[in-house]
Order: sequence, then structure tokens, then C-alpha cells
Amino acid sequence: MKKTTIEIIKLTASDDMVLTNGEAYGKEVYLGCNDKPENWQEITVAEYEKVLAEEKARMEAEKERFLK
Amino acid sequence: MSIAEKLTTIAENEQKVYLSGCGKGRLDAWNKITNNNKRGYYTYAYRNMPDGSFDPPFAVKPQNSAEGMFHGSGIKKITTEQLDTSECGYFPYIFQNSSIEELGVIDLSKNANNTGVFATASLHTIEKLILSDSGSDLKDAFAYAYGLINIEIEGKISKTVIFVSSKLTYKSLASIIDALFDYSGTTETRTLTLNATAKARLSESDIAKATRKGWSIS
Repeated sequence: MKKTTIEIIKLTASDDMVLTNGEAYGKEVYLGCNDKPENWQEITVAEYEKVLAEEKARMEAEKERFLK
Repeated sequence: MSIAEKLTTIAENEQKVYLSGCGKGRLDAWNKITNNNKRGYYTYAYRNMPDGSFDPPFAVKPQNSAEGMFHGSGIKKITTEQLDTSECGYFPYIFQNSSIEELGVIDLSKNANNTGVFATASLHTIEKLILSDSGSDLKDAFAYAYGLINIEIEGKISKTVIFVSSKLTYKSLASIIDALFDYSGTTETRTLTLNATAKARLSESDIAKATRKGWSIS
């Protein structure tokens, strides 16, 4: 018989909110062994969508720069 | 040999001779295109080219830059026998916005910039992705790769990474988790971001395998 204990810390964002550590985003986050809950904060979905749009624009701009 | 037999023999061999000639012509052409496979720069070389335009008889081996080499092309499949990226140190955007669906072995181990490498929604299979053993940065490599289903990774992922595809198989997800660099025993934190549908395929044990290595999963 094999006995395994698995401890995972899971953070779940409130309704209409998204979790972020400033680099990654998600509704649910399983923390790595070196990570802490205080490294993550909630932002609104609208704020998240703004970040996505900015990221997309950044990549497009970078691509255009290469194509010139 | 009768005339009839000779005609039969000629007819039988005509296609072989014809194909042999074509093969030599093709080989000569590709040797010229690739400078006997010593050409260093393929920057945007096949940009917007149609499917069928990349058909080399040997593995084309970019030496210096293959940035955007197949950007926006209609080419659907590139095999290991057609492209060897193992010596190339710079190929961001190589398949971005292309119609690529299937790739053979792609070696990123020496690539200094992986931005947008696989940024196309049509890509469903990467037979094998080779990364550096000390860890490769794939941060923006899979942006827009919404259709990715199959991927096998050799080597390590060292930086926070995002896989946007909901279609990744369990085998692919397991390979991604296996490839996460082990930061246990350090204070380093990294994050693997997965599409929620793909993430739901992981068991607690799979998730624990990543978190024990210092990776958060979002």
C-alpha cells in the first residue's frame, strides 16, 4: 500500500475578479512551494481585459518593428 | 531482345530516368537556394509563400537567423527531414500567422529569442520540442497557439510560460509539467498558465508535481 499526502494551496478569485502576480493571471491559482498568497492580488475582469489588449498591442508592435 | 521487349523495358525505365532527372534538378536547385546548406540567413525567406513552396530534399539548416522564416505562409507541414533549427541562434516569429498545422522536431535549445515562435492558431502538433537543459524562456512562444493538441518536450522550461490552448492532451500536459525546471530548494517562483479546460485535465497529483518544483499553476 502506498500512502501519499498532497498539500496544495489553491487561491480562487472572487466573482468578476482575476488573480495576478503581475506576470500571470487566472481565476484559480495553485501555489508553488516557494510562492505565497500575498504575492497574488485580485483585479477586475475589465482591468484584466485591458492588460490583454495592451499585451496584444505590444506583440503586434514588436512584430511590425521586425517587418519594417 | 525483341523490339516489343525493348519497348517494354524503355517504358518501364522511362519514369525512373525522368524522376531521377527531376530529383537531380531539385537537389541542384535546393543546393543553390541554401548555398549547399551553408546559408546563414533565412529572415522572412518564405513569408506569405503558398503550401508546397518549401520542399527541400534535405534538412535546411539555418545558421544565423531564421526570424519570421515562414511568417504568414500557407505551408501546412514541415518535417524533421526538411528543417533543422539545432544550430540556429535567432528565430523569433518563425511560424507566426502561418497556416502551419504540423511540425517535426523543432530545436529551440540555442535560440536566443522565442517570441511568437509558435504564434499561430492552426498549429496542432509539434512532434518534439527540444529546449536547453539549463532551461529555455518560452514566455511568448505560444501566444495565439489556440489549436495546439500534441507536444512533447525534451529539455527544460525556465521562465513563466502560458499555453492558451484548451485542446492539449493529457500526455502533452504531462510532458509540459515534466519539463518545468526544478526550483525546489531555492526561493525562485515561476508560473505555468494553462487554459482552464486544459487545466481541468490535471489531477491533484499532477498539480503537486509542478508546485513541488516551485511552479504555481494559474
